[in-house]
Amino acid sequence: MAESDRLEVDQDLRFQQRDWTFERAGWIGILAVITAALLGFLGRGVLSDRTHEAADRSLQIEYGRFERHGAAALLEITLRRRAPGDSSVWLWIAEEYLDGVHLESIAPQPLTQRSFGEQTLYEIGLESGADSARVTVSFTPAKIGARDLRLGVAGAQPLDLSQFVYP
Amino acid sequence: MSSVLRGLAVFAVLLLIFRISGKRTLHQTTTFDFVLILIISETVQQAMIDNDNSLTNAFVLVCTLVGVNIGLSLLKRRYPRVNKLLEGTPVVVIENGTMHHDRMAKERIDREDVLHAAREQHGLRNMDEIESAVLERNGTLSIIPKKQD
Repeated sequence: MAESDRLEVDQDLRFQQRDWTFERAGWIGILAVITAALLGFLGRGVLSDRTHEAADRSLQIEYGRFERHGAAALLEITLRRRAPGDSSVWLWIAEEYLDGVHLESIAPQPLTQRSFGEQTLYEIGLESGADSARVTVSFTPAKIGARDLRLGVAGAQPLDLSQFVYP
Repeated sequence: MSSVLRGLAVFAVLLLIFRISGKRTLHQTTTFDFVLILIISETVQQAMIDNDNSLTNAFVLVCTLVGVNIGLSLLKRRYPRVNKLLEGTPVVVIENGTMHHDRMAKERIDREDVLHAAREQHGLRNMDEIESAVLERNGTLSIIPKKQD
């Protein structure tokens, strides 16, 4: 073949072969990320949504095991009436946890709220006749990484949970 | 979970809309096409992100969009019908020097577009020098010049 007919291409099939392998591996990686996200491993979803109840049934919480930094998140807490005559229940949440979130709202609004040592206490009113109250805490996580979530009803058994906040 | 679903929904809607808009719409970015793309991306990003400005959300969304794209390319190779559905088919608009005016009208191409492509690709001067022209699936016009004697 004459030199002028030569196809001037900088081909390197050995390199390309490795490149293709890398590409296919990347596809599997992408598929893994999508699957993890669908299952709720990277934020809200089946794997992330948890429900826990204190051993003495004083409180039940629905929360996300995996949350994302800066994305709206919720704690759905059900508080049970402690004694027949009680008109309210005191819910406490560890200060350490509250330090790592931007608290947006607590609904229904607590009757009173006070700081006590390492806890913030919220007095939640009970409707007469109802034996429990449902409280929704809206917040956005402000700290990244593993977070301890400790909360409970004053005088009852606490719940020790953990959350992971993705960047 | 919702990031993936939102990404999929936006991908599907955009695919459908661009498919409806025809081959020629975005084949070459004219000034107006550029503005159109800007406005569309600006509008769509709100729907996709939905108040979740986390890095993870962005990462998951990008993986979803790229992943769907790779998945579709594999499907298209495997099933010719899927390929036709998603990409359309090429259309011959000039055959042996005869123009198919009906097809050109349907695809919204005029004489000027054909001459433009002919000048650009082969430096042709007029219609007489064109043997065939094909509107490819990606919206470009391919010109085949008449053989020189």
